[in-house]
Amino acid sequence: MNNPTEEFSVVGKNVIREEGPGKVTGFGKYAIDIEFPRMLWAKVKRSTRPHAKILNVDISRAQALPGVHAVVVDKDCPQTLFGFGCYDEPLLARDKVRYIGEPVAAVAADSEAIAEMACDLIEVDYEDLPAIFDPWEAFGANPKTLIHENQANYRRVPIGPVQYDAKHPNAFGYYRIRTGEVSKGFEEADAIIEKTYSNAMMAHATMERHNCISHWGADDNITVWSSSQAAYPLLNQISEALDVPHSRIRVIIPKYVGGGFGGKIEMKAEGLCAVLSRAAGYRPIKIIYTREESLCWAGVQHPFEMRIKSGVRKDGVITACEMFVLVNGGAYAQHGFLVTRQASYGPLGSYRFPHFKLDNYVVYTNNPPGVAYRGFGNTQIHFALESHIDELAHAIGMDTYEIRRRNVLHENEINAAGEIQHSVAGAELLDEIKSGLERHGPLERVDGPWRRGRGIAFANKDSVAPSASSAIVKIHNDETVEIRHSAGNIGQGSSTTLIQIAAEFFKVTPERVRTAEVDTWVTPYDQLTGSSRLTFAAGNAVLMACEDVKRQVLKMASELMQATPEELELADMNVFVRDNPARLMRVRDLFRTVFFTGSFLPAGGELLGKATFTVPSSKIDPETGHAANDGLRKIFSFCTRAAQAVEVAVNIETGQVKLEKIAIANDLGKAINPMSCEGQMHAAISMGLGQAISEELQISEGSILNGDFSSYRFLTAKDAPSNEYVSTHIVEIPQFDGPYQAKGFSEATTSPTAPAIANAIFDAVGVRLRHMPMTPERVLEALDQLNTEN
Amino acid sequence: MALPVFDYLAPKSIEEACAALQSKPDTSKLIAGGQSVLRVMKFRIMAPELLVDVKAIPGLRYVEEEPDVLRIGATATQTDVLRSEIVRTEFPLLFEAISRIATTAVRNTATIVGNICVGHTASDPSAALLALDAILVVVGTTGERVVPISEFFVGHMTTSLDATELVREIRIPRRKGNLGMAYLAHAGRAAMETPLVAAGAILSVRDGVCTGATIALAGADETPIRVGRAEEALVGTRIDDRTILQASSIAAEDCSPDTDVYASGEYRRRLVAVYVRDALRTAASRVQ
Ligand SMILES: Cc1cc2nc3c(=O)[nH]c(=O)nc-3n(C[C@H](O)[C@H](O)[C@H](O)COP(=O)(O)OP(=O)(O)OC[C@H]3O[C@@H](n4cnc5c(N)ncnc54)[C@H](O)[C@@H]3O)c2cc1C
Repeated sequence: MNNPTEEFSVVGKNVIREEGPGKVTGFGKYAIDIEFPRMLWAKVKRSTRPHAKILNVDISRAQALPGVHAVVVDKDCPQTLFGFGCYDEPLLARDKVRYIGEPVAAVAADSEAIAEMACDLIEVDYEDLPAIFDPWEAFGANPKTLIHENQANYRRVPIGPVQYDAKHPNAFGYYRIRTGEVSKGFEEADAIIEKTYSNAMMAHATMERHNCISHWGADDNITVWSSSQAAYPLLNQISEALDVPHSRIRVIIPKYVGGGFGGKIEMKAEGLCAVLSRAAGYRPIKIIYTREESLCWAGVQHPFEMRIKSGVRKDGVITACEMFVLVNGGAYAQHGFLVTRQASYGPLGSYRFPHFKLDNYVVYTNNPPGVAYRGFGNTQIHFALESHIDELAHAIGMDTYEIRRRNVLHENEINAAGEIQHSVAGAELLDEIKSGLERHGPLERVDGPWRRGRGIAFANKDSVAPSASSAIVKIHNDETVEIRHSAGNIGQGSSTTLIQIAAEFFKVTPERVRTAEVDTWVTPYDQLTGSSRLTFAAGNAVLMACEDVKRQVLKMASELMQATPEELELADMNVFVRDNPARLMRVRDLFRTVFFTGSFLPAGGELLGKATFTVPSSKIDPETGHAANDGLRKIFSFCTRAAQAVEVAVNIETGQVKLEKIAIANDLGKAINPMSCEGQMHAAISMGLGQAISEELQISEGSILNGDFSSYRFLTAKDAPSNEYVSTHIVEIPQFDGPYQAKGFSEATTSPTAPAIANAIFDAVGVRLRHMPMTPERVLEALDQLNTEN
Repeated sequence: MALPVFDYLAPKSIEEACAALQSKPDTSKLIAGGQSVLRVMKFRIMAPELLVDVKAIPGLRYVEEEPDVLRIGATATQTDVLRSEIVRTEFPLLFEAISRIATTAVRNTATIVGNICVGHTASDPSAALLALDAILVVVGTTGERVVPISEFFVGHMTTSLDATELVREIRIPRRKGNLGMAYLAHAGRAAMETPLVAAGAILSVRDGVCTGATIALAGADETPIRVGRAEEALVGTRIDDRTILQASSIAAEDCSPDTDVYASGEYRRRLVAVYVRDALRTAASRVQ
């Protein structure tokens, strides 16, 4: 849909962010900043038990507290269940609670403090039930308790194989992939390695805590302002939870959202606050989650257990791989089964596996629910796989770059799930990081407490399919362009990317293009800000809407210019005859002004282009997980790949790990805004490093022990390596169907960091850490063990 | 969480502040920078009815040197102390301890006095002041008393202050000649974290022989502590790696660190050995 060889004037340029000035000056308004007249504050009364029957909820004392306007429990809510493909969750706990932190009641009051006091006055009588926190315990055929007794009857969106299996009554998702015959592959192997890898629970830790205002209007329309990263999925969830049609719900996402990372996709308190709004006499209700609520009970990253057995030949070729993965989903499904599905395909986007077998279950436990988290399961699976690849390399005495080069996929190759691979960067990324790290100087091994080592890792991230984005592009009477789309800009810079795409199309400067605030009564459908999909999907939709409005412009101009639309061209808001550019008119002259009431378009209402971009996917065989051989062979929209090489220093006395140097490479088709892409890469280092060495929600019997920023250790700018030792490498392998051949990439940036660090720790001190995060105490324990063995 | 409801008073004199505390001895609370007080109130660990703010009392914000002593007033911020030339040159241990606290924003608001009055075992200034033999000037409704810092910390988050008393000033004796001092702390990340363990050390050396040794620890016991046996093991010896290692392993034996979400007690004990050793080595290298 565009010519790759043409010279670009805006695409590929470092355009400053649309939201930049508002952020720097502090004028930018986030949902958390919004307040309204007559607004009340909400608080949620949360469960203190991991698994218990609710015998009674006494709200009388809370209701009697001056300043309290409404107190609601389950029976005051629509008796629906909501979810994200598996409908298992009530707005407020119904009959029983399934995790510590589950909403049991909610209060609306004049102030946050009063609402909180009222929550303290609500008395809940519980009868404890046996609770399960360990995924293996949950997984069995006869678990000591069922977390969702009625699971078999839940409504589900069928994706893949049947998800409920009476043999594993606590499992709510199961995916499998079957390719070849692994036993044959193992016979061909010269070495076989079998190891188990795992990760702790993590939080998204967005700067802006989850918050919203919901207003159930007296006209029965519901308006919601939210810090969400997914306006339309939120709209849909509110609709399902409240049993109100879409048309009566309006979701507004301010242009400033303080981070998402997957943690703001599902509905949080938006539906509940709407219920409170009506109960409190149609007043707007605001809630801001506390930092503890935001870290612990707004969805966490899933802990995975990953057993991998692989065979490798002496020449480095992997002959077979067998994986068993168990995901701890927590008390409600939310995104759990989709994360499980996506993680299952993760290995297949990296390497060639002649024989492959995977079984991946996600189970309910009485832990807080897991949700999407940047990488969507790929962070976990690539931590395991990339650690494992190094273990294979060591088993046959091969260089760690070399073993990866031998096995990475090639352009147009069909992978082990029958999917054809496009825009494949393999060796290119490995070459970049190798030379990138070498540029920071050679590894110098020294004695003393700090030991140095290097490691690499590769990773990939598929972007969801089917996928759909719509866009509206309006040309105003001053010839500026407005993009209406619902692809929320949550800090990743997507608005600017879309502006550049439109500016390039119209050959105008980016200053003359802006995006509208996301508002579902104005801006059209978008699937979600997630899955690294916006540049690709929303970008294509914007480009198509630009073409649509251009067609209208040329048609209107053709009548005034005595030429056919086919003879005309549009650039910089001039319409001209292609063969005689001197014959031209300005777009603004299509508008007419009478008297003093502004200008209008004589026909058609507005210069408004509209479009929907969709990506289909192939039928997938539930037994093998393979894409049908239908000419499309497509499971995902596109795949982005990444590689990183790191140098770490490991302190053998304290177990501390410092990231000293890093080369980070991503393939992204075409960098629409290189500066923005590099920004994502730099920020990803901090996030990846936190995952690798320090971020962990410590949980005991379902209770999170460190739900605050002093003890939940996410890292600071001071922990990041010095800029002088960070190199970013953009690899552009054209994505044939992307806008200007671009694709998204941002999720894959974090996945290689932890395994590269694990591999570097091994290089530095000879211990293999198979559990993330690799905290100082875990490193020290492994060193102690090594020392006792020797 | 939202702050609970409370009254607020900003007295203009120490007497007025003490009287206010006296009027509600069980339910009032002094506040300086508020960096700890507001946090524990938000966490509902404490819900005072009345906050008495010392920051409005004139004449308490100073860092002043006298011939024998450095005086730090109750409302001097941590940044004020870092800006003092004498702290930088004469008390590098204190300078190092304060400069690692949290972030610039926290240090601009938080006071040294407020910090030690929390009584937290992992307080950087507490360990430093313990090593420096600081003296606290305490004012109550019945007058002033002087408390050596070694008698100030009495238990987990508790000091020997009475609920109606206020620390007016910290006095740090100035020391002369042939000494070196150092402060080293270990935390789980490079900023915004109180230490898991920290060690402050001062060594006095004459003719190659140690004439005085001070080792103070943060995070290694219920309160900030001095490790007397380790100090004694050094006095009279030549400071070398053997004696330093000996002293650090005594320190690790004699402390009793807790386990919490930040680290296990056992891990902290190992850190004590490492950080006492390194603080002693650095102090020794700085002797002049
Ligand atoms: C994010 C963060 C990170 C931190 N990191 C560190 C760190 O790494 N190392 C470290 O040592 N500290 C750290 N702190 C603590 C910080 O340095 C402050 O010193 C501390 O929070 C209290 O100082 P304040 O002046 O704000 O006192 P406040 O919070 O106002 O008061 C603290 C206590 O002192 C009492 N008090 C205050 N003034 C007086 C007085 N004149 N007389 C008697 N009692 C008084 C109060 O009643 C209260 O009990 C951190 C704090 C935060 C918020």
